Amino acid sequence: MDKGEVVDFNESEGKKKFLKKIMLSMFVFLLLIAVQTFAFELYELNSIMKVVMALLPVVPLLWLLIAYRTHFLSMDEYMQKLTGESLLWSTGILAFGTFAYGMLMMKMDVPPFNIAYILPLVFGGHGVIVQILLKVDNNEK
Amino acid sequence: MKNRLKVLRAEKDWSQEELGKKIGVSRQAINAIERSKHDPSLQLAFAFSKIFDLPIEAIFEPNKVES
Repeated sequence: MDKGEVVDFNESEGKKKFLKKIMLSMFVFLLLIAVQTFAFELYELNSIMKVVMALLPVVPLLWLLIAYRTHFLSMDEYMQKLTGESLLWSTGILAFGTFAYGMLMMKMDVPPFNIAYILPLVFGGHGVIVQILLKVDNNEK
Repeated sequence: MKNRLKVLRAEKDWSQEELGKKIGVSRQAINAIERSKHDPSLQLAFAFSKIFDLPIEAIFEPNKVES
């Protein structure tokens, strides 16, 4: 690498690409939710088709997971470290939170919790925690 | 690990963003290294060494290990 040479790294470009993939996967997700709803409303589906239709919206989310892995691998070492720590926090909070809720469920009546909320909670929580960790590192004297 | 990155960067009149682009890391990474919040990998330390034309030990100072 020559002195002053700009290496092949563009953080905002990578972020833009990843954001585009997020938007696209969300669009496909909503589209498949609509397809799923209409299929269940309009057709008499057999058991196999019910399973297929019910799981159809999971496909773009799996694609999003692969896109996120690619994005993670393109990050620099510091951002990878922060992202890893954030994932540890979000999955840890989720694991302990659901365990605590399960303990409560065994002993008393609590409102039911749909496990489909776990994915958005983990992803959303992870994003928030990354921002908090960045702020902590930037503000700490 | 202590380092002289902030001083060396100021001497070159580069922003954190500019230095980050030159060695292929984010502005946040430069900020964290300058604040000793993140110890760079050996590869990154060599990149700093090359960009400032200084040996690694002239940029980074390891924490003293008590024997």
